[in-house]
Amino acid sequence: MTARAALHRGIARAWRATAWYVRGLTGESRYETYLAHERIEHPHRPPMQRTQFWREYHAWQDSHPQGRCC
Amino acid sequence: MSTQADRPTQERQLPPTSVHEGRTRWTPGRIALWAGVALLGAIAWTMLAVVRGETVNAIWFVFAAVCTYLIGYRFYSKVIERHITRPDDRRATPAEHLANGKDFVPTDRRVLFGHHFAAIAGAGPLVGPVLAAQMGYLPGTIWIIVGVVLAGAVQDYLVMFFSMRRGGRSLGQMARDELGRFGGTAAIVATLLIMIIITAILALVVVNALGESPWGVFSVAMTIPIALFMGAYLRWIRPGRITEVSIIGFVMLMAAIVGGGMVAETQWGQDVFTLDRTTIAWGIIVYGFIAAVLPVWVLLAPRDYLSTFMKIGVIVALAVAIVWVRPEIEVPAFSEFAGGQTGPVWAGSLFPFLFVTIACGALSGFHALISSGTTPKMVEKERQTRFIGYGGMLMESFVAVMALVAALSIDRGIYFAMNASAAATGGTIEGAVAFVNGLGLAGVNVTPELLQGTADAVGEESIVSRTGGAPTLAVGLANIMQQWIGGPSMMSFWYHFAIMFEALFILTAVDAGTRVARFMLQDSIGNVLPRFKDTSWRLGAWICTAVMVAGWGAVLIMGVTDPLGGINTLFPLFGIANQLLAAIALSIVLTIVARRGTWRWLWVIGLPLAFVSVVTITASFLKILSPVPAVGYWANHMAFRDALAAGEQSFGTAGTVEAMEAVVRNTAVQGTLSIIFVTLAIVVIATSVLAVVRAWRSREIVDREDAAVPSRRFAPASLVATKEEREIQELWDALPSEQRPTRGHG
Repeated sequence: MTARAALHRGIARAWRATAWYVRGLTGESRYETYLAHERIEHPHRPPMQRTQFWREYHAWQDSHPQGRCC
Repeated sequence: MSTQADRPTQERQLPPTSVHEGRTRWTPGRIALWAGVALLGAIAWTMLAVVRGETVNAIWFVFAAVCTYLIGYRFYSKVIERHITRPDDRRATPAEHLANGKDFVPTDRRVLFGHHFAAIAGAGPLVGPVLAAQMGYLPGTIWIIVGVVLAGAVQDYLVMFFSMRRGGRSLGQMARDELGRFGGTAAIVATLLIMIIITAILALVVVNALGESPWGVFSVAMTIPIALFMGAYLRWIRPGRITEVSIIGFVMLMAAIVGGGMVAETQWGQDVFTLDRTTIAWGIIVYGFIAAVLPVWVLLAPRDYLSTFMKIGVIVALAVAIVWVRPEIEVPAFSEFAGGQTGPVWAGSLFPFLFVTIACGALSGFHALISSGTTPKMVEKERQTRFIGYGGMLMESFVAVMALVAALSIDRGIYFAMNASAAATGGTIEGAVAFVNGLGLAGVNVTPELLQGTADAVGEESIVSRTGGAPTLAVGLANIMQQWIGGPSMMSFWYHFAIMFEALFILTAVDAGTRVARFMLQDSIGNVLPRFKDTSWRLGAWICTAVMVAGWGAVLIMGVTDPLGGINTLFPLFGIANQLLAAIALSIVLTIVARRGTWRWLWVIGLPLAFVSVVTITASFLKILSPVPAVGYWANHMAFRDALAAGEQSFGTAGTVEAMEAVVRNTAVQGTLSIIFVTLAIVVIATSVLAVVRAWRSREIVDREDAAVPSRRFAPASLVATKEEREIQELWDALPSEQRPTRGHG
């Protein structure tokens, strides 16, 4: 493997790692998590669509507020 | 405590779920590494505390902090893990066995660390250290760094761990379970009142930062349409694309800051956006109510994304900038005010008031509310609580150290001119120059040109008496950042960038705090009027939100209109409230640990509990009983009353009879709140001590933990996986995909 290819691979890896982390931190990956959860726990029912999932999630957040510290 | 018999067993067909942790093998390399960390830390502390040159370089603060954190994390938190919490990775966490894809979600430890940190770190660790700089740099530095290792991080870690063992129960529920009905009720009432005070004072910090600042008002006001746009985008245009919309929102936010500078230069901009502090306070009260009753997707969630982005960005940038610029600190280790009790920024002696002025960053009771409930429901493996709970708090402490460095890096004359109340400076440049130069501080000589020049550089009309800590931090941050990026011409951008950053997460804290408090209130009222238990009942929600907003709004208006200055009289109440909550949380933990039968190591909790109890109870008694009017609320109250009775037209800093009446009113409210707080805290601490004594007498082991469920997954415990952990991870990775556990994020 040439040095240039190694560099490209390194950059690609760092980019993927950053994207993975940011998606986790913002909570964007929540829907994919939900899909994985449904696949294992409830394989016989169709999972919610993305739009519907987020609507339900926000409705759930309304009734389960999370504090933020000072 | 769970006995050997009900310990979960390892399933035979799965790879190990837990690493057998033996004693660490102390190889020469490892010994050399830790000896090096200890040596560097010792040199840094020597430079700060013993070697007293004309100046001290800021880099020593960074080294002293980081080396102490590393040693605390590697050794002290391990002791706590081994002897007190005793986590067992063969047990499934609530996230694993109650997984529901919503709140119970096993989450990668590194991601959860970020989540938890974003939830605990706000304006608190930025404001307290700035105000504490009045005493010189050393007392605050020692308390932030030593306090976090022995108190703050211990509290966060233990509360998180025990909440996790109880299915993610909240602090209030644990209080009821451990302390009984009476102690538990006292703890819940104290928590509610404390939330009101904390929300009010955070809001006061924003009001003080935005008062008479058209630039600040414009750019912070623009966050409302930006958040609304983001909410609509996520609702209708591209649901769930949070990263994408956060980047768009961030760009718009930067445009709002730059645009604010242009607007503030126009005549109409100044006419529209120059608002006095009372108007802004009412604006925040109305905004707080509306934001708290609207669905979260409209305002709260999108603003929270922006706030997280800004928080992590600014903290990383500031850390890099401090290491890059390495500013020289000219503030003495102990200032002229360290020995007295009448400093201009806040009144009171070093002990106990320094330890309440810096709450967040060293020990913050509020964290117990976050560490119980939300985060424990997402922990993947039990042993990770040390990294997330203890480690997360160390990180917040580091933010506090950087805030302190930023505040110390600005000229001392400017510092006092900004932080002395308008009652002292008259709010004018001439008044501030006379006042600060009259303090008789060594090497301090402010000139009108210096104050005006600094105000011009940051794009503000004036910097005199911009109390509350946020503007001072913004000047310090701008001063450091411009030396790294952009030079002096960028100073005003960085200043408003910092103000924006603080305003964003204070507004989020105000809004989220109001929501949480509303639910707590509904739950409490629901015990008498069952209708209120139904949180989806619109009218009940509105009534309870209005009650909470009225509570903090009243304190906010009182602070804004206070003839004595506001922040300097109210901030101690904020710190006391926060530390009393810490005492309550530590009391609950103490009871749990004692009832588990861990007597030998009970001092690990007893030590910070005793310290924080002494500090807050002493501070409360001084605030109630001190004969010095600047310190004691009632002494001040009586002094103004007597003056009114004697028919005087003005007294102290109150120039009119109305102002004098306001002082009489405000001090009565503050004094009464102090009495209520300290009474509730004493009740909770005493209940807990009684429970501990009972547990000692009976030697009966009581543990309200959930039953152990065997775990079916594996993950490393700390940031970096050890060799053993990597080997086990490889076994798991080799499993066919349907047998591998799903992870919240991974």
